[in-house]
Parts: sequence; structure tokens; C-alpha cells
Amino acid sequence: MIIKAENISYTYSEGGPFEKAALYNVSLTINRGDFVGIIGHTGSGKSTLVQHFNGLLKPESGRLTVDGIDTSEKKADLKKVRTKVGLVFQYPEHQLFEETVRKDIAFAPVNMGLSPDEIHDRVIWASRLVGLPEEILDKSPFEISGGQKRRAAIAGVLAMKPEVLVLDEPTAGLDPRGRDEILRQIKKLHDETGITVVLVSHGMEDIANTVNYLYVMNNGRIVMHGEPMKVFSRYEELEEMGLTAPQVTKLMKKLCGLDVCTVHQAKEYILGVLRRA
Amino acid sequence: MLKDITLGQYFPGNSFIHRLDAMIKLILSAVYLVIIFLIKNFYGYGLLAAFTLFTIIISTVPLKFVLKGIKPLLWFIIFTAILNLFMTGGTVIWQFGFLKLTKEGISFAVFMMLRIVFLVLGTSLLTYTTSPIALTDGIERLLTPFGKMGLPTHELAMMMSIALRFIPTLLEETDKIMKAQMARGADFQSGNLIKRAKALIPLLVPLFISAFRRADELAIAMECRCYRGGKNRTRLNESKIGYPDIIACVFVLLFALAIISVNKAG
Ligand SMILES: Nc1ncnc2c1ncn2[C@@H]1O[C@H](COP(=O)(O)OP(=O)(O)O)[C@@H](O)[C@H]1O
Ligand SMILES: [Mg+2]
Repeated sequence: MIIKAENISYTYSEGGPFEKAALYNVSLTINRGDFVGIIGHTGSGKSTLVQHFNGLLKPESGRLTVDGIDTSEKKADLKKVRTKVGLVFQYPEHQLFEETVRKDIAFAPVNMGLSPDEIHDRVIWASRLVGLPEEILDKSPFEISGGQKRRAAIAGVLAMKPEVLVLDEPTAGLDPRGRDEILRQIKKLHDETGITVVLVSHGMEDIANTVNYLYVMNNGRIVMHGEPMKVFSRYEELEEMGLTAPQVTKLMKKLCGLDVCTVHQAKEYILGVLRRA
Repeated sequence: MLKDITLGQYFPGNSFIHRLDAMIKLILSAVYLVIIFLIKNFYGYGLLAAFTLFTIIISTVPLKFVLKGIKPLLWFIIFTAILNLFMTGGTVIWQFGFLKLTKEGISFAVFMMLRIVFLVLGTSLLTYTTSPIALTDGIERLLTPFGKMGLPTHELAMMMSIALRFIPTLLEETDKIMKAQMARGADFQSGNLIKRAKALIPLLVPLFISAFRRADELAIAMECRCYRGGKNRTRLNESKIGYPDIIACVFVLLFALAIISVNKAG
């Protein structure tokens, strides 16, 4: 396993007038090569949790280890942890700052102290992975489209060649086409390179098709986990938490009491039934 | 680090101090500041400390929280004290090269430190117990006489309330961008001065861009709701000066008189 959280809790501005407990006794494990989803409605603590994964936040109690490194330890090498676990923030395009997209993607490799050749290779590699055309690399990050900005920002994290890629709501604010493209590329990245991916989302449809394990958060706690199909089959509970299972899951449950979480599976099943009839 | 900045923070509550009229509170705070500089001896400072402590207690803002406001100014206070310590002429009690320690210097340095500390405590208590909206409203009413002379008081007050309103937002944004760049290996804490200044670019560029974007959006949103400045604008909450305000004024007046008489005694 690469990330392991044991009973971690976290409170924002402890002792102040706006003290806010955000995580209570959260435990989870993420294994190498996994494609893990974390879902929960806004304010359930997803972003707080994933910021623990690369040591930006340290648990108040409990323990979090990344590839055996305890992030709370005084002499823990956090720089190393941050290159192992690449974290793409919500609305990552807000962090772009360089004159050209190329320089912006190169920011992390430069910070890692790599050679110019290596940096160049990584920029090309990362921008190809997220589907950014080469001619865009020399434009200003402020003159390209919203979807391209988002890709450039994701490439900026990928350029560290992390072992785990954590994406905090990567599709927020994108149109359906941009959303599908980003998700497809992430899936492709996972399949081709075998990188471990953690995908945070509040939309079910995003996650149903892609992840192989799912954690559900509510009010700072992990309330359910398991394979997507198992989790979605409890959609009444999900709805009580303000989440919805994919439409097709509900439909298939009503039609034939079957647990299904993607349109593709539903199609296969219905076709099967029709053929037999 | 960012958590230490308490300036302009509001500590919600419903104490006697919270309920005072904002304009009265502003005037009384100004009187308090003048009193700090009138004090001539340590008895006066004792009285001042007692008065300040009393107001903090009835304001229900935790003392720990009020004292936190001094932390970011600690170096400034120490620096001022040291400067005063060695720069004041008078009876020399210890000398090392050009450094002269005088009796007057010591008492002056201590006075200076106490003054800054009480200055910060008094002003932060004002912002802790007054919501930004009430505060700018109070300022606007205070400035009304100048409005007749052509000063755009409403616009000034509006600018101030917008600025105050956006302090927490900008701090939050700074925190987020800082974390995002740290996730890409940025290092804000180590290195020499030039390196550190350079490290701020990845933080400042996105911060400015988002601040401009927010300002733009806010201006459009205000225009959409027909905002057009101060003339003939009415208020949602008309503030009235009541008994508590009069009691507070009398109390501060008595305190001022007490300080003046103690000054004579010392
Ligand atoms: N910087 C912060 N300071 C104070 N409270 C915060 C901060 N960030 C998040 N919170 C609070 O912590 C809780 C969890 O937030 P978050 O982890 O961002 O949830 P999610 O990503 O699931 O929407 C929320 O109630 C939020 O208001
Ligand atoms: Mg979030």
C-alpha cells in the first residue's frame, strides 16, 4: 500500500472563534495501482482529507503514512512526499502564473532541480498525457481556453512524475464535453502508466465508470466504502446524505432489482434479456 | 503564519460592548488613544491596565485572543524599546563604547512599550466587537460634517467596507495558492532574501489576477443592483444612540478625569 491513514482527525483554526472540525477518525488505505474515488457533498471534508496525502496538512491525531514515511514526524522529508503524491487542487488553473504554458508546467521539475534536458522531456511528456497540443506550450496561460488551462495545470503536477495522482474535483466548472475528455484522459493515464489515482468528486456519474474502489464521506467521516457497485446499491442511504447514485443504477434496480453502475453494463444486460425473449 | 493576523477580524458576540453604537465606540476609542499618550507615570498605566482588562472582560472576547494581536508586532515593539533605551539622554548609569544606558532611557522605553501594547489592545478590541459593516457605517456618520464640504464620505466608507470584507477572502485565497504551489515543490520558507522574494512570484501573480477578477465581478454585481453612490441612499438599519452609549461615555469620561488627577499626583 502507498497511502495509509489511521484514525486521523483535523480541526481548522483550533481555539479561535471560527473553530471548525473537518475530519473525525478517518482511516483508509490506498494500494499501488488503485483507482480510488472519494465522494461526498460540499463541505464533507474531501479536500481536507486529500491535503493530508501529501503533507500539506498534518493530522491532529492519528497517523498518516506515504510509502512508509510518517508525515507528522519532525524529520519527515515532505518534499519527497510531495513529489510522490502529486496533488491537483480544485480549480487548479488559478495557480498558473508563468509567462508561457511551457514554463508553468516546468515549475515543479525546476523546483526538483532536474537538468534542462530532463525538464524539457517531462514538459513534452506531461502535456501529451493531458492532450495539450504543442503549439499551445508557447502561449501565455492566460490566453488559452478554460479547459486547456485546467489541462495545463494538471500537466504541471504530472511533470513531477508522481507515484500517486490526486485530483480534487477535476471536472468542476467544465462543460460536459470538457468533463468527459478530462475523465477519459485520466482513465487512459491510469491504464497506460499504472499510476495510482485518487479522484475526488461530488458527482456520481464522474466516478462510476472509472474507479475500482470508492469511499463515501459525510460530515468529516467515511461512512461507506467498497466497490462502486456495492456502494451505489445502497442509493437510498446515499440520497439521505444529499448524494445521488447514477440514474442508471436507480433505473435498473426498479426494473429488475439488479446492481449496475454504468450505462454500458445496463445496455449489455438489457440486450441479453431482449435476445432471450 | 497567516493565522496570526487578527487585524480587522470580528469576534461575534452580544455583549454590552458589542451592542454599543459604532460611531460612539469609534469616538471612545479615539479618546482612549489620546489618554494613552497623556499618561505620565506608572500609576496611570496601572489604572489604564485595569480599565482595559475590565473592558476586555465585559466584551466576552477571550483575553488570549486579544493578546494574540500583539504577536505579529512583537519585533516592532522590541525594536522601538531598544532604540529608546539607548537614544535617550539623561543620567548615565551604564556605558559601553557609544552605547549609553540612562535612567530616563529605561523609563521611556518601558513607557513606549506599554503605549504600543495598549494601542494595539484598544484598537483590536474595537474591531473584535464591531462588525465591519457597523464599523464603516460609524465612520461614515463620523465623516458627515466633512461631506458637506465636498468629501465623498459615502464612497470612502464603501471602499473601506469592501476592503475589510475582502481581507478574509484574500487570506483564504493566499493560503490556497500557497498550498497549490507547495504541492509543486515551491519553497516559501528557506533561502536568502532574494531567493525568498523570488519565491513570492508564483504566489503574487495568481493572487493579483484573482483580486482583479473579484473586483470586476463585484463592480458588475453592484451595478446590476443599481448601486450609484451615496446620494439619497437610505439605510437598512437606522442606528440610534441609547442609554448604554451614554453610560459608556460617562464611564470613559470618569476614567479620563481619573488619569488626569493621577498625573498630577505622580
Ligand atoms: N481553510 C479553512 N479554514 C476553516 N475552515 C475550513 C477551511 N477549509 C475548509 N474548511 C471547513 O472544513 C469543512 C470541510 O471542508 P472541505 O474539506 O473543503 O470539504 P469538501 O472538499 O468536501 O467540500 C467545511 O465545513 C469547511 O467550511
Ligand atoms: Mg473541496
